[in-house]
Amino acid sequence: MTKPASQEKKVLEAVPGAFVIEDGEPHLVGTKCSKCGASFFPPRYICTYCLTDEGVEKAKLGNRGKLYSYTVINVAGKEFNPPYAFGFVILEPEKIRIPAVLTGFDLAEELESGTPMKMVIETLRTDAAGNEITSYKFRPEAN
Amino acid sequence: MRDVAVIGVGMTKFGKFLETPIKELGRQACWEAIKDAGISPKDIQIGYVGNACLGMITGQAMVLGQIILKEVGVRGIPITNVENACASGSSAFREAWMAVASGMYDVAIAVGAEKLYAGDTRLSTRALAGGTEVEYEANLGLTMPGHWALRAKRFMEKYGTTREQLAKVSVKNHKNGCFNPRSQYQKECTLEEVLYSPMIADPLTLLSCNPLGDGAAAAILVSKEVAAKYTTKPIWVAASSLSSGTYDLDREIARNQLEEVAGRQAFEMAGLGPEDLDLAEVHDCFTIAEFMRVEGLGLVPEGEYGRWVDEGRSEIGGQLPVNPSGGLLAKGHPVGATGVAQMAEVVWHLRGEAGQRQVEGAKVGLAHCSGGGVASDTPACCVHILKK
Repeated sequence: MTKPASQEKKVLEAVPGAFVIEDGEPHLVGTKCSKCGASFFPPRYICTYCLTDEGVEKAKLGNRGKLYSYTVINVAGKEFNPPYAFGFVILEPEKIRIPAVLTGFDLAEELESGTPMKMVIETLRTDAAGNEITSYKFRPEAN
Repeated sequence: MRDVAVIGVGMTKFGKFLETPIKELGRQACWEAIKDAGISPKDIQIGYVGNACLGMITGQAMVLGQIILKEVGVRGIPITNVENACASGSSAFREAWMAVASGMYDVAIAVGAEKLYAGDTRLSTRALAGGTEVEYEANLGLTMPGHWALRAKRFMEKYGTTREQLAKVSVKNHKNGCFNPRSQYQKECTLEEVLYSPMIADPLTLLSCNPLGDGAAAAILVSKEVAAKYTTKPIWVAASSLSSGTYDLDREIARNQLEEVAGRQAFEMAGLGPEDLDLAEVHDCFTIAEFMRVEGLGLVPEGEYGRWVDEGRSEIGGQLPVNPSGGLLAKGHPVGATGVAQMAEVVWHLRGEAGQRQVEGAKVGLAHCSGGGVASDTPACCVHILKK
């Protein structure tokens, strides 16, 4: 007997539509304003600077950047499993600040600002219903 | 715009009161304010009640204002519930000020009330994360302490501020809390205790973060004519400002532009400058927050607060006492209540009623609350200046 759909464990995204995977490479999906060149992630459909939706298009953004700041979180809400690193990466070439869990290094190790980082897709957590929640994360490029 | 005076204030002790319903906390604060003002509940023409987290903690997501105000016999009048994260209480106070300043009403009540403690830290943490962009950063794993930890790391890198200097703010505010009978914590802590308390989000340790707790505060705001009937010690609202963030993805996260905007607007409205202040209650949800906000408001030049703290210049008796109440760090931070509690504190100092923590000769005080954390910016910043 097949399980009812509601009991199937699903794979969901923490921020739906945040990324695409093309040729094995993940990329963030945002928007870009063709008038002023500003990029937005998560996507904004009205350019904050030009105040128009004309020429604001969905865009595949970079998947590498430099570490701006990060912390190690020890206390979190339910469903999260601390300790984990959380930080900001300045995405290249768009130069916008992307928040993400950081992975692929020893939490006891001190990562310096400016460390080159690259985007990966991994399981973030499991939700209360047992579904796997995936997300983009960033890891030091050298690791 | 008419002159508006605060003629009554009330505040419960802040603390962990698992068994006390929110309406009881609200009732105590409102009744104290009403008695302090000397008015009757039926004189109140409009009410604004600030609350941020109760929906997640107890499920009371709606009509809290009406529930609390009926306990003191205030019914039927226009009552609006106000939410701006940690600035909910200040925003409620601002709405009450606008209602009277505009000439539409003569007597208003502003209330802030919160139950944040539920005996389950993870639930409270999740509730507080409701002040971030839930469907984005919170879903990715960012918490409110994490949001501030990121800014702290960046601030320390930019200005050379040390962990010890950040921790000294907690030591100062815990010391001040000892002189405040309504403070959640009335016990000093040492620098070592702050530095080595459990790490919440590096570099913010437990004692670098405000505690979870419950409480309420209230204020009665009236027109000049009404004030003259009830008191010889009206405290005037010299300025009220509210600003919100820009959330640009390329801004410097170690600076708070919205504090600069709200601070400047408040000083302009009051016709005063930071040098005219005798005390400031500044929203120190985390030690780093006191640094960023004192500088952001222009009370201290950029990058200088570390030195101020080393030299004790923001202690009671110092050049500009910051958080003589004990601040959020010691006095507590029932989120919605804080903004109105700050008003009560400034009023007490300006009336000479602040007891052992009295700032001598205080004539002008500033109260600042900022709420939420979105895109490493702050969504709401509310600044008031009160004067004798």
